[in-house]
Amino acid sequence: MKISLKSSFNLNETDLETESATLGALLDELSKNHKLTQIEFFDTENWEVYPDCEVLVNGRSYQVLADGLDAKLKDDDKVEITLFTLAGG
Amino acid sequence: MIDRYSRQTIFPGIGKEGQRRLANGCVVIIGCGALGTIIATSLVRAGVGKVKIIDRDFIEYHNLHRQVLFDEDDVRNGLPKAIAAEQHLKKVNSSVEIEGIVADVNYTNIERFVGDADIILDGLDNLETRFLINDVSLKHKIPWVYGGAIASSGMTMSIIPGDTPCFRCISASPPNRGMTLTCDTAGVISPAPFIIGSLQSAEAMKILVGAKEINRDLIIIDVWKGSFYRLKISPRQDCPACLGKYEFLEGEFGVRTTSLCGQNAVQVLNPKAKHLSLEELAARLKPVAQVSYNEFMLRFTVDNHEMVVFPDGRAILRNTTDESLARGLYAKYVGA
Repeated sequence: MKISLKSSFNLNETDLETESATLGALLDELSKNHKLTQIEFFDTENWEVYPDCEVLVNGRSYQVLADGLDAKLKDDDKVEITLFTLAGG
Repeated sequence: MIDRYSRQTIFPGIGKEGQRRLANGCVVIIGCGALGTIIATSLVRAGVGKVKIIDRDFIEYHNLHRQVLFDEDDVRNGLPKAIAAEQHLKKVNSSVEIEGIVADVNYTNIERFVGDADIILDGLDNLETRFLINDVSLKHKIPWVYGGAIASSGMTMSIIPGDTPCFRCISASPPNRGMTLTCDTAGVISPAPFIIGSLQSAEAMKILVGAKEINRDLIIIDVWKGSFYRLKISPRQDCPACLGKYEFLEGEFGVRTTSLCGQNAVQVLNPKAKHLSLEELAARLKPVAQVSYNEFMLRFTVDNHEMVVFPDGRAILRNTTDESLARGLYAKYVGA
């Protein structure tokens, strides 16, 4: 399956061949491939997106998808990972 | 006269010419908490010609573990951070023009505050005002240096208008409330802001002396894990600020209330307020609350919440993060 991947950092828009069938599995795969994303945005033990990141699938937050991280992916889905900056100081 | 900067000018990156440029420079530091006190200390000691420090808040005991310019006397004297910083730093380097300004920086006043700045340094505790700085920076082509720290983590990046990606290229707008970590939920340990503030100071020095080695990446550190890495930020093709739409500066996202990071408090901003007589307000509130005030602020307690009111009409309500409650109590006791 081919997924279009985009982020506000390092990754310019990239097409990624993946075997991951769900969003959570894709994030797990990306998170473990640190060379690709270079940041930790997904807690692979607790299966959670870190609070300083947002993940959109075809423009919609994973939080509003009916199946959340279990949402099935299909060819040409667009997954966007946005890193939020730290607010404290 | 002994050259106080001799150890700095020996460093080739500065040199005598660099020192002259520092002395001719003007920096504006917005926010004087952990980051701001580090930045201000460093740049005043380095001999930057003019240092303007703007902060809306006053000093409390829970600031002292990380805000290096302040001490227990400042807390006892009820000093605003900007005033205490100015007083302390004038003793450090009397050749620097230091101006402490007690104010909330918002879209109605930021252009006035940064008009003479060569660089804007970020010492803030909220994201909304950083988006505002980003707008004013791009509009007036003033470089700024972002810095943020929470828990054991920190981030920093230099934004050079027309050259680097901007702050809105990283994320288009502040996240929804409750989505991000705050000092309230995650705490903060001093080494994180110390390192980030120091990196911001170094960036300011490099920009002022015209060095080429400016940081164009988002640097992310974690002092607990011992990690330090860089992310290349891509320019966002649809970034409104890069396209000349300064939505935060135009007040489209102006907020009347802001939850203050790490303080369990809400700030109420009344942009329409004129100068407020604290003496008159104290007289009005005395029948209903125990009130104390000085020329800088007025304090009173209502419904188990302490409210601090400033002469510019701004107020901080303690012991809550409920912005609606803050707006309500402000309207009731101070007047909207």
